[in-house]
Amino acid sequence: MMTIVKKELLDHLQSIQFAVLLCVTVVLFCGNGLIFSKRFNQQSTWYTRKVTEAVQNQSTVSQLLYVRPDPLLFISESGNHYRPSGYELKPRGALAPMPSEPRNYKMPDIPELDWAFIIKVLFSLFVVLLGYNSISGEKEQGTLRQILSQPMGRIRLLIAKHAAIVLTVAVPLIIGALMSLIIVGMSIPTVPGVSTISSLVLMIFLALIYLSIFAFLSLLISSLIRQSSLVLLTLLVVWVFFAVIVPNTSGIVAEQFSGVPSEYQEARQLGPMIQQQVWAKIEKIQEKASRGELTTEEQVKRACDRAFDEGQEDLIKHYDSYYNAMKQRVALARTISRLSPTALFQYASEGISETGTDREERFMRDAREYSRIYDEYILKKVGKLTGVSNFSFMGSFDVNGKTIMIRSPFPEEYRGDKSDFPRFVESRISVSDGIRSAMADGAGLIIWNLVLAVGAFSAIIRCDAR
Amino acid sequence: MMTILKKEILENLTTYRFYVLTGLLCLLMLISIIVSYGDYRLRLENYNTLQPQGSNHENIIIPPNPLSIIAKGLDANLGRLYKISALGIEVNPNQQSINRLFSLFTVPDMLFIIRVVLALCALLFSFDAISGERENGTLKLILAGGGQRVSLLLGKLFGRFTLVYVPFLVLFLVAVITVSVLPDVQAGSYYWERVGLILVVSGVYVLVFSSLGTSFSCLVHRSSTSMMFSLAFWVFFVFVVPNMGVTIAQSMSDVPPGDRVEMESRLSTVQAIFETIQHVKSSGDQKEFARIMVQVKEANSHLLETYRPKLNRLINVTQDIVRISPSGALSFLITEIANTGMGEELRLKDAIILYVNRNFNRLAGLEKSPVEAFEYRPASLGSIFAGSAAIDVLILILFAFGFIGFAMTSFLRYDPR
Repeated sequence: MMTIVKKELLDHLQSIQFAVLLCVTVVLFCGNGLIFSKRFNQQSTWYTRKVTEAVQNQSTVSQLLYVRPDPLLFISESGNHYRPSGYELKPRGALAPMPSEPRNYKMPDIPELDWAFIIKVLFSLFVVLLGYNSISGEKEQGTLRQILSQPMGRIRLLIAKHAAIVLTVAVPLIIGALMSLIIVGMSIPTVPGVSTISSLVLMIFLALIYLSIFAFLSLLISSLIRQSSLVLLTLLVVWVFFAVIVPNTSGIVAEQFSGVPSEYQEARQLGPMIQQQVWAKIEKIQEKASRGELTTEEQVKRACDRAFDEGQEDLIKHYDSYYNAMKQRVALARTISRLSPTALFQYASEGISETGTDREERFMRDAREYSRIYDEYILKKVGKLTGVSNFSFMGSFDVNGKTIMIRSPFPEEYRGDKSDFPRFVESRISVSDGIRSAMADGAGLIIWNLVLAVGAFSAIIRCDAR
Repeated sequence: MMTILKKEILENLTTYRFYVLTGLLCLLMLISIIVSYGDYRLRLENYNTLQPQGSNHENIIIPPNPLSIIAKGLDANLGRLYKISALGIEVNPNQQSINRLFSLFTVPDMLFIIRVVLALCALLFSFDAISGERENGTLKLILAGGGQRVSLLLGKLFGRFTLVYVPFLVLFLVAVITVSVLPDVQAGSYYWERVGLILVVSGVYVLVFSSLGTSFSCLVHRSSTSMMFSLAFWVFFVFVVPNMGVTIAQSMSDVPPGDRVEMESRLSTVQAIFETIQHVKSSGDQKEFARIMVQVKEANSHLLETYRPKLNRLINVTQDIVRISPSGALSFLITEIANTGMGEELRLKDAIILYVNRNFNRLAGLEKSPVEAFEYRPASLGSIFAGSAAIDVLILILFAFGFIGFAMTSFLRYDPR
């Protein structure tokens, strides 16, 4: 078996295909390093400036929380440029997202050149090209029966071919990864640390598991179909199905099954809700005041503040339930897309590089925890906690024949010493946490490997070598 | 040449390769229409919700373009709400769209299918045009039969091109007819002339990649090697150059990303001036008020005069670098034709700036007359092709002829044994 592995490996390494792949890999990984290191430096500069401004403008009315730039974005960008660059926190836990990072202009959509993209597109295609004629090509040349006439089992032959393919792609993958790491490390000195290197090693390991799927798939199809050109075509169609069709359609399918209203339908529902929750209550207070049930300005103010607070709570619950429904829709879409090994690999790489929706969730948890501390600080310094809403009210009330103006409450700014103002610090996760979050998707990749391995073994055992 | 062309078409028409790739194109186009239309409906809903009512001219928003179903481009950016006042223009961030769910994966509009999948199909059909014949041993027979090399090459090239382009043409026409009858899509002469142009441009693009695949086929003796080179160039042209173009342009340009932040901080200075103005206005001193409003206008103009030329230079450099790839040139061309490109966004912003300048006195309250309504028409085909689109067409034609010439040169020296 080792002889076959060595022979296959040498054949692949000496081929023009390998030389071309190596050149393309070097270009892509160097490009990846340059693009992301530049972007990270820009983001870091912007982030530092914004955090400094936020510290200088500490306020008990609202506070700006910024998302720290991720140095491992070059591994898996995962739609980061669509995410908010930060949140505005107001009393009582109201979090409003800020726009994504500012840009001078926007190009039409181009996939980001991160490791995940290079591996899931280029390397998977290359594995297909290496493996499509592994069995069918030997059959066409007439060498398959000669090999099988030797005292070596078919299973061993398959394992040897599979190992050779995976080892062949591992060479440019490791070279490319090292080049990218060197370029990124030169611009971002914090990157080549122990935890980062561990993440990168895990990423390469994960990539090899992912590429192994395509190696087994190539061997399976190559064993089933006689003509190599047909094998290649079939493999490319399967590749398009996994890499393009399944991930892109899962969003629509989730949309159909989840029944979540759109943001604008939701916004239209808010008007009647505010009317019911707040205005109706304010009108009742006005009636009470004109009937003489409320005799002092203080009583009217307290009643209005209570009505406002109750309305606020109902609205916050409504926003929260809508936010959770949206999250569930995204989770459903991701679950459906997990049919594809490409999507599994994408999510696992997000787990390892601490990017993607998990990162967003972690930031939100940190923000909510900070919001609790922020509210406690406001209560301590100002004495009361007033929520802020997008709606406000102002009305005139008749109290004991006197007309008074009442407005919706607004948080009070604390003007005293703010040296003990709580600072927002985003938590970091360890490598083991990253592995844990990538575990489920990694297991999915291993299952794909097992299924396709069984298929390939069955196919080669039944394959007619003549 | 015609004999070879017919032979190529008939021979490949009944192959598994043809059915599979045509089926794949069909499926992808169907998915594209569904996803893109959903996206378009969401943006239309956004427009209907935010559309200014009555005489409110302080908010400007333009409706989504039905051609964005075919080439989304920057239509989401174009559909943002612009709030205008004497202080300047405030732009609302992008609204949500159906594909915010899946920002990981590219929006599969028709442009994506043409740019990525159709190019791949063209390569898959042409990579073994010559090397495949050589491997079968039939090349020397054809040449020994008195066939001219150039005629043979051109017959094979156009035969393979026809095999890719004609099914695409049929499917594309079905797709655009389907889009034209969907609710909320108005398909007039504007729609059809641009769709026709997109079809023609796509044909040139398919020819580029067909000739590229054929070139490699004439360069090497093994089809697998030809396939390798073809795929490598496909990855380079479709993914690498557009991505790297943006980064290289930014590193060459002198527009720092913080410029926008500086602009915002200066606007807050202008805000302070405006509050002073309000105070003066309430005291009744109209001359002082008018003088300060003119100062505000000049401050805004100065901001734009320093920022915009730099931004325009950055965009031009980016486009010039990305045009190294035929895929990049096609993206710019089709999005401009569909009025969803970078040029269209700049035109809209310029139109809004001119509108604010024209109505400045009315917005600032210096004149009592009402603010005029904002009107915007997308760029006509004439103005599009008078601009950068003509360059993109020339680039595509240059690539096509360049690769055909290269293929001919290689094939004339090709050993058929």
